[in-house]
Amino acid sequence: MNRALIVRLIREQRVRLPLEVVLIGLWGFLLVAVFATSEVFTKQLEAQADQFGGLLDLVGLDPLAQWASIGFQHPIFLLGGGLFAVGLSIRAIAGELEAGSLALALSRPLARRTWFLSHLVVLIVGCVIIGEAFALGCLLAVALTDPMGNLESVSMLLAGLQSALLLLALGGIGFVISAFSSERGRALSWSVGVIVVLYAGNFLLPLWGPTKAAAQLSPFAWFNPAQLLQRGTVAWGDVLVLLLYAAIPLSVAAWQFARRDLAGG
Amino acid sequence: MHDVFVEPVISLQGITKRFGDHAALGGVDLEVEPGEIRGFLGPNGAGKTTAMRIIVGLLRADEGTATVLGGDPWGDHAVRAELGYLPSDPGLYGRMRGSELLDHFAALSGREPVLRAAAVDLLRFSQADLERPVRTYSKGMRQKLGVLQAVQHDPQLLILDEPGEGLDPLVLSGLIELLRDRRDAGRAILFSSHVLAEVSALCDRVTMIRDGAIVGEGTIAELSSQRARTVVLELVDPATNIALPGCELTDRTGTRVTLQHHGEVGPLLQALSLLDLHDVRIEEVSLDEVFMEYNRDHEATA
Repeated sequence: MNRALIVRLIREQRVRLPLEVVLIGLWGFLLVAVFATSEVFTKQLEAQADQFGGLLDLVGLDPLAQWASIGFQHPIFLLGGGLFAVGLSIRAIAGELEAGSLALALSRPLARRTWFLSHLVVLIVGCVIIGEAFALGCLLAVALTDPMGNLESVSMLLAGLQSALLLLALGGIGFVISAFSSERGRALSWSVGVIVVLYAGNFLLPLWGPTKAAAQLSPFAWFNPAQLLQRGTVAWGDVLVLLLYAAIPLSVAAWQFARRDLAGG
Repeated sequence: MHDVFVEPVISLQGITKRFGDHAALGGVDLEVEPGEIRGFLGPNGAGKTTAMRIIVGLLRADEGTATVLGGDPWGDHAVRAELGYLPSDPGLYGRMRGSELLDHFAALSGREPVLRAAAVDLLRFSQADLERPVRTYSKGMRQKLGVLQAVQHDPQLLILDEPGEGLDPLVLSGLIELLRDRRDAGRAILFSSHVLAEVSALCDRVTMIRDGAIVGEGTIAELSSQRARTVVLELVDPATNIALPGCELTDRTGTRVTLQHHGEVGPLLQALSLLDLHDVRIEEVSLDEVFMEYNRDHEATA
């Protein structure tokens, strides 16, 4: 890792990341606050859980835990976190290559491995901050509004860490596409396309018997914090798969970045 | 002060590089010594930037050996501690202030920016300019900042791709002074330019590249001596028979005769002394003409 590089990356995030953290924290807060102040929502949720709960594995759970779990899997959270993870990973290689700044930086005594690891550290820390921002937003609302149901702080924080793993996996997809590309726009389009397909596949593939098993290919299939929020037990199998889902593309990206020509920019 | 490097700071031997079906470099040999300013000339797409990127370690050669500052620029990133690089279109972080950007690149180099103050003066940068965000800079100012980030840590080797691009004549003269000063301090400089006057003013030696191959190399005087010089004679008697060694008649109008001369000037001067002339003019071959002729020759061969 390189201190000067990490300082620059943090400075680049000094507006964007805090803004995303505040918005995601606010999303968590409002989610629980609305739940606490509306019995209608509670009843609707129970009805929906009976109707669709099988898909999200929510049947029989505490309504507040269900609600928080839906918040973690909601497109608003995933979009906010994904924007950070994919944005950083695309800029790290394809973006800086296209802009011409990568050539300047790597003309210094800076190993490509160091460049990659420095970005990875910022990506990991950012994903954790975003995941925990949602958890803390929810917990703050629980403390202030006393909603019906039970939400343990430790479980929420662990779910935040698990969501960070999912965001890291999305960042890994961005990194591997970025490492093979020389154009930011193209890399971003491909990354968003792949992630949208994986997200949609997680919901659509189980609807038809022959494709049901294929849904397991999506990282979203391995992120379901409902059980953790209800019972406080970590699904280590899911965590391991998410870890692999992050580690494999990141390793491929590191390998490709170390050996590729940097002819763009 | 750093120790002055004694070996060739750049040694390329048989370097080839392909991008798909396109051969960008085909067996390039190049050596640059310490204390030398080497001009790297060629038309667009000739392979200058590709060769420079191999020297900097951004591209890996398909074949051949590249040794820069005694090491392999692709495999050994440490050799780049003594390198300063200005690409043809440097990507500068627009949100940073000029001074922040320079500090950042100095930190990445791991070296103190010992030359920054002097270079800022020579390139006519004001402190106020350095405190502005880079995104507010004009093209010329961005180019000056690009030069500054390359030279500020006083590297042993400077690789400059079109350093004079977008600079006004005053700043350009400052840049030339800066680079001469570095050359005198024993640093090696490889730079490409389309402004041949700039190359003539600055370079000890010139390497010409075309379609990925070196087509000429030497001092400007050496290269010029290999090319035809124009000889214009004003005869006393328009009927005088003209047969001069190494000369080819290109025009004859009345008493005025224009010839192209190849080879040594001694025999020509001797023969001219035997003619009855009003005037004689041997025009110096400019680098522009040398460059154009090399490219014409190459096109004809192709």
